[in-house]
Amino acid sequence: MFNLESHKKTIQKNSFATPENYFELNKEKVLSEVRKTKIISQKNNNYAVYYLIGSAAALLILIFSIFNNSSEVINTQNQNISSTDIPFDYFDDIPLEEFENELLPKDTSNALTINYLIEEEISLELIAENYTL
Amino acid sequence: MNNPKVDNQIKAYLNSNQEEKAFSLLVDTYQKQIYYQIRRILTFHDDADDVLQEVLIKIWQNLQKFKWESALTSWFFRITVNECLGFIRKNKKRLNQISASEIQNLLEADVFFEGDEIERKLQAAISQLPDKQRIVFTYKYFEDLKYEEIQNILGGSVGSLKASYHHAVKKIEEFVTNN
Repeated sequence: MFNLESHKKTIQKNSFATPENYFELNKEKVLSEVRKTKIISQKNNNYAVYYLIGSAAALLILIFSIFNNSSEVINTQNQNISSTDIPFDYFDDIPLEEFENELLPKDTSNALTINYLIEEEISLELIAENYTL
Repeated sequence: MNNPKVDNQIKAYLNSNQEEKAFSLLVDTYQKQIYYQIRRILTFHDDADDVLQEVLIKIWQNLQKFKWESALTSWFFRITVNECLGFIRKNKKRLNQISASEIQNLLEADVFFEGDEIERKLQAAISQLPDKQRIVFTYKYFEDLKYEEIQNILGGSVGSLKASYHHAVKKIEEFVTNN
C-alpha cells in the first residue's frame, strides 16, 4: 500500500520544471503589464478630470443663460411703453414715399386689373368684393 | 514561506509611494512560491503560467489596499486559491474531459515535468480530487502549512479542513496503489 507520509520523506527534488529563465522573463512581462495599467489608470483619471471640468463648464453656462434670460424677461416685462413715450417728432424724418410704396398692391397684375376696372367705371364696392385693394 | 524582513521592506516602499519598487521586490521574493502552488493545483505549466499572471496583476491592483492586519503571504495565497478556482471553473469542460490515465501520459511527454512514475501517479490522483480537497492537500502536504494558516486562506472550520485532508490522503493512496 502506497503511503504518502513515507513518500514525502523520499521526495528529493521538485518535479516541476519551467522554461529557461521563465521567472526572470515573467517578471519583466508582469512589470510591463503593470506599467501599462498604470498609464491606463492615469489616462482614466485624466478623462475623469476632463469630464468634471466639462460638466462644470456646461453647468455654469446653463446657470448663466437661465439667469441672463430671466433678467431679460423681467426687463421686457418692466417696459410699459405708451404713446407718450414716443417723441412727438419721431415719424417726421420718415419720407412719405416709403409709406406709399408699402401701401401699393404687391400684385402688380391685380393693380392693373383694378385700374382697368376703375377706368371702365365699375363700382368700387364690386371691385372690393373681388380684389384686395 | 513568510519573509518578515522583505514584507517590512515592501511596506516601507509602499509608504513612500514607491509602488513599483515594492511590487518588484514582491515578485522577486514570492513569484516562485506562488507559481509552484499553482502548478501543484493545476499540474501543467501553460495553465500555471496563465494563472500566475492573473495572480500577480491582482496583487498589484490591490497592493495599496492591503491593510497589513494579516501576513502578506496569507493574502497572496488567498488570491492564488481564488484565481485557481476561477480557472478551474472557467475550464471545467476541458479539465473534466482529461482522465487520470491521460494526465499520466501527458506528464510523461511533458518537457516541464521531471518526476518519476510515482510522481506522475501522485499528480494524476491530485488532479482528480474535488477542488477543496485538492487545495487543502496541496497546502498541507507540499507547503506544510498548519490548519489554522489554511483556515486563514480558505475559511471554514479546522475540523472540516482536517476532514478534507484525510479524505484526500485516502483517495490518493488508494489511487497510487491501484494504478
